[in-house]
Amino acid sequence: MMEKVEVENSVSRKASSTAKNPSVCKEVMVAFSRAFKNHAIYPPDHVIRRNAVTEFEKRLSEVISKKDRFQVDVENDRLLHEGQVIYQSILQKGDIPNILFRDGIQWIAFESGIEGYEILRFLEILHRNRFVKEEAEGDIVTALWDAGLPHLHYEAVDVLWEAEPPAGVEKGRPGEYRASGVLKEPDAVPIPASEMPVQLEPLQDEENFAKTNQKAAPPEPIHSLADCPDTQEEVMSIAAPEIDRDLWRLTEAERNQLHEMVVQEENWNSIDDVLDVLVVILQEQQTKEDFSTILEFLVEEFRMTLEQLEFQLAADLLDKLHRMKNGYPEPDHWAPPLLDQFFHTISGTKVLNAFDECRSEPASLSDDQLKTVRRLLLQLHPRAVYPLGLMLPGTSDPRLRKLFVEIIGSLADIDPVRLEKLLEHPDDQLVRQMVFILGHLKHPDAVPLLARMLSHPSDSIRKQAMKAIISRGSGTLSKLFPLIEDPSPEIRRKILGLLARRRSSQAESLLLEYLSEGRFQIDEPLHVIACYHALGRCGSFQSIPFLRAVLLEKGWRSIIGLEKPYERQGAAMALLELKMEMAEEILQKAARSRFTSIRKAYERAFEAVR
Amino acid sequence: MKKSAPPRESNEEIRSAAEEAFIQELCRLIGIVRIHRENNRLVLQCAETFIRSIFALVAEEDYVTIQFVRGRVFLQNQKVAYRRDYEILMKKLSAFFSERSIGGLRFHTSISDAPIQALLTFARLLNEAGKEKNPLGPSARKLTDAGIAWVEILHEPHSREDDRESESTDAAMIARKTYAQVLASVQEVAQKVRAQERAGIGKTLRMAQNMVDLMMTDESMFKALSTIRIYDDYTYSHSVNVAILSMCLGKHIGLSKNSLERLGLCGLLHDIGKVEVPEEILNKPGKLNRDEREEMKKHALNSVRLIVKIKASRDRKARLLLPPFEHHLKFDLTGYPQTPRKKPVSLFGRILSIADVYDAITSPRVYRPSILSPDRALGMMLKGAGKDFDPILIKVFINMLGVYPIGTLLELDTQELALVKDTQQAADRPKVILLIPDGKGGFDTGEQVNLDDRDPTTGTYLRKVIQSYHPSAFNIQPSEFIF
Repeated sequence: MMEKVEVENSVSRKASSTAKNPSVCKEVMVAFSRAFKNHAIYPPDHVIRRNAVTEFEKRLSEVISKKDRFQVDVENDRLLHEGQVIYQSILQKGDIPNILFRDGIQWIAFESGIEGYEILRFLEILHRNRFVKEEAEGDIVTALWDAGLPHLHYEAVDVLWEAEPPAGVEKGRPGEYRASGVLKEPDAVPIPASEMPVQLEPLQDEENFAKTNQKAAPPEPIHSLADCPDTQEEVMSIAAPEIDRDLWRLTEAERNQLHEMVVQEENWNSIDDVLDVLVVILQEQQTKEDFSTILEFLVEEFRMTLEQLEFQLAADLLDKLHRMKNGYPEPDHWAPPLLDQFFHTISGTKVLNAFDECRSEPASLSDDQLKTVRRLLLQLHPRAVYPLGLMLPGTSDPRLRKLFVEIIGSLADIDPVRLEKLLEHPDDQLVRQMVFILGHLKHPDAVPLLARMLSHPSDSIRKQAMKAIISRGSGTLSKLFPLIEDPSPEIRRKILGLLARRRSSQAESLLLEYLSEGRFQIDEPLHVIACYHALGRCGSFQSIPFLRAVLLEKGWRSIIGLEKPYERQGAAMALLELKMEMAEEILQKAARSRFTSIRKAYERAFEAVR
Repeated sequence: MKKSAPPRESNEEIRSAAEEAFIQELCRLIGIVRIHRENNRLVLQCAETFIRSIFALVAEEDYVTIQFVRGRVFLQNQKVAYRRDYEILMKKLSAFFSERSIGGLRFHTSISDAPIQALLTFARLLNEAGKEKNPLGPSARKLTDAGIAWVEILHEPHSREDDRESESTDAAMIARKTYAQVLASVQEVAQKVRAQERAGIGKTLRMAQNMVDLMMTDESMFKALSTIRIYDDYTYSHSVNVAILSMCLGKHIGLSKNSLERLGLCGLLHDIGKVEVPEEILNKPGKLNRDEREEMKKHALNSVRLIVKIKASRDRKARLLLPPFEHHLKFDLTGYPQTPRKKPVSLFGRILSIADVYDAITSPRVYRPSILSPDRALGMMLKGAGKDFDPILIKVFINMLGVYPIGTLLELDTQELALVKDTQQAADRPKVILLIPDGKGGFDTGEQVNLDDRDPTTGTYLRKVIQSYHPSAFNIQPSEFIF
């Protein structure tokens, strides 16, 4: 999009209306500057940024509507329009004139018909190239060239070549030929015409041409440079009259084929081919450093495959790399640890958040894609548990959510460390899901982690943890017992229900110990009575001495009036639930007791149980 | 300061030496004020020598006029016949003034009364004129402001013919400059890569874009650039030539500008892996042995690795990897590298392969005593259509270059030697430059003729081709005549 400045044009423009009214142009520049600055400060959707761009667009279109084209000449610290300063930079470095000038832009012209996207792209290019980076990939000029904005023109000079243009091309002189890398000195003895490689023996007509070119049979097709004949006489010229020109005439079908090729190339998605090539290249690397370099690039490519939903390619890549990793015969080869590191890297948040796009849209993936995603995710490092866990709450497709749950479970079973980290997450919903998954792990750390979750501040999480522990069966009662003092009545009820489910020496001893200590955190009559009741349901004769003492004895607390009547009532209830002869005898004694409190305890218990 | 008239022969020699001295001193003066302060001894000496060089030229007139017309230098209205050693200097001087839209300068003898500082001010104004939008105007005004009356700035003479020739000279200059810059940018990347530094491709990218622009403006000129051979840096000039030929082919099949840019970059970087091939293998006279061939073959894979190492965005690099990987793979997937990947060679890979082989077999190398003329190279490549090369692309390539590609040396039935300059009109009968033996083993540029021209009375062609050669067979560097 390089344009030549025509002196005549610039002269004629001097008389234009905008030149007479530079304030209009200055306003455009003020708006331009503001849009540029706000572009750097605010995110894309921010109202201030949007308004600034709109204002710039508006001002610009006002000027362009009058003269079709608004050209701004660039100097290091200012911008000019038709010879008049319309913007003077204060900042210099990093300001619009400076960055344009730095990259060699001499002028920029906005033309009639310029669209919003062009202005946005222009601002984006300026912003991206605001500061010079070492060994940068390009600059404003290359970015504008690549963008090919149809209504934005510019002229640039090659600032990259400040020194003299490189020598080399200028070295040779007419008639002077350097072969074999040796330059013939200018003073070298000239080659006499008689010693020229070929004598000029004039031939008369084209037939003779043909004869000359038919000296040798045509060679076989070229396979490599080594096959290139040593003398040119061995090869027939394509200009030889006996060669049919139709041989290189394109047919209509070939033209169509060519068109197809071009269309295909223009829409080429490099991912598939690049992954192929990189795996081939990786296998060829002989040093750790080169191997790592290729792997680093593969990480980026892998991320791109996910972003483009090319799960098949991503899964195939991981298959190949796993095979490669397992294919090294030497146990101490340096490559497998680097491949492990690769799997570790791609299992992190930075790579896996490429799933963001598809997980937020319900049913965005087909069943086949889901199967591939499963194959892909199962090959990841357990580190993936953390990012996948974080994605779970925002995943709207229930199939994908289910898949994530399965993968998290599988990977956490190998190493539950990341799952443990997720259990500390502030989002209760997420933690509850993790507890659910934890409940299904076979890993030995699962139960201790679940037990730890029994003290989580959230009722629902504790409940989930409790359920998970309960569902794991025997050996879990002691872990759950602390829930007997849970602040949630529901959990307390559940745990008591669990204890009271059947006769159990474990439950009995846990309850006995708890009740005999008498240091209830929750010293509520109903809770205490419920504990006694549970003891009655799970207990045995071993509880009878303790229950007898609680029901019938009148200790020092009753003397000083600190007796808790509900404990006596609870003991009576427990004895009733024991349904044993010894217990019956004690209850009879209580019914006949001379102490009102004992009799009342029995009566209340009897009423409650009945 | 008039001189006595020496003998005619001697007078010419003296004049020629004086002209060269004046031009040299003018260049020095312009250059030295950029480097040193006004009070520097060298600067003062230079100014004095310059004034002396003016007076060495003054004869009947009381001024010296230097003018620049179509890239040529005129003194006192006469074309300066300079030695070849001065060619670069003349071109630079001419370009310096052309960039400033200055047609010439007239120095009056009153310069002898001018303070040295004024002379230096003038030299600085000339330098600064390059930064001005309309260089001539402000400079002239500034001269007046500075009280400098001993020099006049002359306008560039204008005629349509002049413009056309000048444009052509400018275009050739731009083309050569672009080639040199592209070459340097590839060398720079290669050097950094060789030194294990992280190389950026900013310059190379800008160059690839400039190449696309140049090709869009003047394809013929652009194509002709591929005849440039830098024998000291074969690998790099080969890369540039492959890029040029590939881009031309890409343009002919209708690729977009952005794809052409990518194709150009692929061409420029396709052999970057050769930086890791030992020099003794790269430049070995004679054929390579098996081990050496295997070592050489690694360069395709090495190129990919080195491109991965380049400092650029993932997307950019990803799009540059495949064609260099494939450029030695043939259409039928023979060639190298042989890998488990069995997909057809990509379009860019197929294009690079054609351009690579064509440039390689038409480039004189130490290990090949004889070299194919471009038309024979095409004949040979056509035989490989469908096996070595994409059969459709090779056709397009031949149509693009013509049966006598630019730079082919032709022997004509008129006992003349001619160099193909343009193939656009009639592929079999291109436009050529006649080469006139200079009697010293070299050639001078002769008339440009069209081999399609016929005798108006008989209707027969005026000149017929009887034989083709690679220009190296006659020690000819085609680019020197074409540009």
